Amino acid sequence: MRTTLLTSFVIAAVAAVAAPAAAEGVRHLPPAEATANEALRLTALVSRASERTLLLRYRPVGATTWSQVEFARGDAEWIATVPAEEVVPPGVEYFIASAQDGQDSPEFASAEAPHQIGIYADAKELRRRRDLARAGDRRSRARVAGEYVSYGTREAGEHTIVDHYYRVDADFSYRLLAYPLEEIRFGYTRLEGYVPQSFRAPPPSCNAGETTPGCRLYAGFKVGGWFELGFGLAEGVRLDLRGIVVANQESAAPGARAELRTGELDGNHIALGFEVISDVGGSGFFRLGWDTVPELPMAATVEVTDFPATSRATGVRLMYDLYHPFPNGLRAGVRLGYAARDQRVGGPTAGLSASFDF
Amino acid sequence: MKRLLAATILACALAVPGAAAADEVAVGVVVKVDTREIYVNLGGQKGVVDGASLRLKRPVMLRHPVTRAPVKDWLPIGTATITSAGDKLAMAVLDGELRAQVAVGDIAEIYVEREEAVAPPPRPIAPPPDETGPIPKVDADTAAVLAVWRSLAGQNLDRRIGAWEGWLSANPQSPHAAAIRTDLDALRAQREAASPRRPTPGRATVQLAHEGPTRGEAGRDLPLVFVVDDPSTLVSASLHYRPSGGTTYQRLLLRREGGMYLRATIPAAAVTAPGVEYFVEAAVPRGESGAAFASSSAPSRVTVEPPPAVLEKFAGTRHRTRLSIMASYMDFANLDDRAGDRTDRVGMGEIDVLYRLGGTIYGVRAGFGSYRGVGGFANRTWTDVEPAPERGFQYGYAEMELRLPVKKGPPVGAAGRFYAGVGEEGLALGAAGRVRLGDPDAANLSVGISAVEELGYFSDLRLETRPDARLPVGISVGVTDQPGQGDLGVRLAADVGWRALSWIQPTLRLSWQGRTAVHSGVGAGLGVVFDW
Repeated sequence: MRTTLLTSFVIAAVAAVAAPAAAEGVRHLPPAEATANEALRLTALVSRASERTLLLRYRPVGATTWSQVEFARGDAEWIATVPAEEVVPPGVEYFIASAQDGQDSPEFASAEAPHQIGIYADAKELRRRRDLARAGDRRSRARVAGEYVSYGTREAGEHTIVDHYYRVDADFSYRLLAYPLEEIRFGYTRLEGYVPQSFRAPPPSCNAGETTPGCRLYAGFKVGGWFELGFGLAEGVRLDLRGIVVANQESAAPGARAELRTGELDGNHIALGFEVISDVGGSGFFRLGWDTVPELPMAATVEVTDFPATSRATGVRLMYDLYHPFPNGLRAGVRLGYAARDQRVGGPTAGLSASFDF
Repeated sequence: MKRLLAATILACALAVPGAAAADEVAVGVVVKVDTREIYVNLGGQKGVVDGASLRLKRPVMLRHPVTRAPVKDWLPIGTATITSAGDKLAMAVLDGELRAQVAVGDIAEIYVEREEAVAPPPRPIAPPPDETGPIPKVDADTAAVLAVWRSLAGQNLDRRIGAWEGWLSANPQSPHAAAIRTDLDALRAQREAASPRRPTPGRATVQLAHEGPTRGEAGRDLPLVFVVDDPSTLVSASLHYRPSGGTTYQRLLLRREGGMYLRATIPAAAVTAPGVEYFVEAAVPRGESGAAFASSSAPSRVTVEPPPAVLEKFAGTRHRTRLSIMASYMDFANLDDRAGDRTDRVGMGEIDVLYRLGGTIYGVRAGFGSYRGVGGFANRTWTDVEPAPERGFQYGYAEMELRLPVKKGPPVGAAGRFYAGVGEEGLALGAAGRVRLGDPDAANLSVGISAVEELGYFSDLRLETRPDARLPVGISVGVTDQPGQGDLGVRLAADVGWRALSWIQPTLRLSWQGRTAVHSGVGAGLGVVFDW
């Protein structure tokens, strides 16, 4: 009986799970990496090569259309080459198909699930790509901003004497991303205002009215041009240096501005800077920007300044900025604030800004 | 392997009842598991004798892959020999590996050979699991699933898992794929529970060709392709990956294409600095598995450059920001019942935003404030001729808090604040510093001092605690000569907050302050904190 059992055992085969049938025809070992701007050679071993045409379809990652090249016979393998100009970061994707009797059949990967080869650029290129990605792949920005700043009105006899100015900036910036130089920017500034012709309190001449000679001072300038270089000291650490030339009441006068910033200008960041324009004044500021409310980045700025005239007492400006970026690259902003030269008298600040990235 | 062979022999014997009409299979259960031996509820009364062959099986409930109906099945555990048969019980001594797998309740089957040719009643043959319900016509896809299902009756877990993985890797888009994945998860869980296993240290016989990337980019998918030299030697393969230096691997079933290609993508989220490691484990038709490319102990490594450190600090958007609004009033004289005008009070309001960076620079804060004070002296009486001096300060401030590197004990923070504002005489500057012991969002003790031109200074010692998660409480005692660099005063204050929701916390402040025993008063404040 045991013999019978053993016989039965032999008959009862162990159930084997059928393995997928071996693929025949094309054996291709994808390369792990490729070098940017160098032709990418892909090889395959092909059986029954005479019965079919082996095709490589490829495109740079992000492209929408496929290019095609036919595999050609090499010494032992079949070879297809992706041209160097198509081998660009972030990568190339491809699939291999064979054409036989007018029919295409996939041999490796497919149009729906192509294989991707990463093309990793050097550190600068990676940084450039990240910077561009943060900017929505837009290198240029046109911006215009205007604000009205009042330090309040002061009493002089029966008259009220204003202390205010407005400022308009229009500029264009281009992200060069040629590190350490990240960006160049040039722009136009107009800053005009009327202030008492004194250090703080209105002069006695104002008691006769603000148009009385010696009461108030026309301050600022109509035309100011500037050029700025944005240096990326490290990724996320930026130093903007600006040279300014303005045509003030007397002559052309120089100015400068610098801002040291960490983080992203349009997002979370902290910045410290100053601006000085001859005869017009100077300012030093600290800004904290936060982009933690969806679609509404904000910033708070504390500024110490004597704008628009160096003859005036240094005051403080407290500003709150609110922005809204639109998907098309437009970014609109509103500014509200308070400005005072002493604790008794102060006035509002209001401003609007718009920028467009392209 | 020997165990598998023996199990198969026994299985075959049991599956051929007509081969020996006098013999029978006694079926019982494991009733006790001891250090080395087990006991089954079959003994001499059932014909069990010393030396009888014992087969052990684990009952399982599965789901039919197509109908999803529950199906009873069993898994082979192993075979052994009865060491000692009693009247009602029998004992078998097992080797350590088998013993570790056996549990009370497992099925015990013993082949009992009888001398008399007593024909046993025909043994009911249970229908195969896939025949629980008629399936009239099936498509090719379903037929393939059923074929695999049929082939697995009575197979061990590794075989079942390997078979389904193989089917799944070749048919990832099948309408049955989701159900099979569910079943696979259940089978893997059973295997894990039965004997926790890690990637098999041995090597699989299957050979994979692969050119591995040497570097990757953080946050970017990492596609991988492996080419099987001999597709017939492979049932399925899994990619195991982990962050470089990690302790455990994530597992991903490689998708099989065209027979010879195995593809998978290490997801972008796992591609982080300093790198990612991977290897491939393959299962062969016999149900065994092992490393087929690299191994768990010597994985293939991909270097990933770290993201820019500075921007990383500013990258977060959630749970980083706090907006605080606070208004408070302190009166040093409303309990002073002496005659005359002894006005001595301070009112202030602040609004600020804190952005938490984490790390050494714990947070940065910017805020605006308005301060107004009258008086400042304990023993002066104000008249129209000599009115109480007034002080005001409109200001902004910037603050940075550092988290000092401390290896042991509670965290230590140090914050510095710079004030810029305008007072009675124009621009006035100030500074403040605070050292905190403990987490600012939990119990902590801090000491701080501030000094502002025109106003004077204020220093305090403050304890914050949370008797309840929703109830932050702060108690402070401070000394000041504000509002106008006058007489020294003491302030005792208590803040009680209520974390109404995760993002909002209103706070009430009550204070007592005085410059002398008779010149004192009470104050109050309200605040609200928004976190998001």
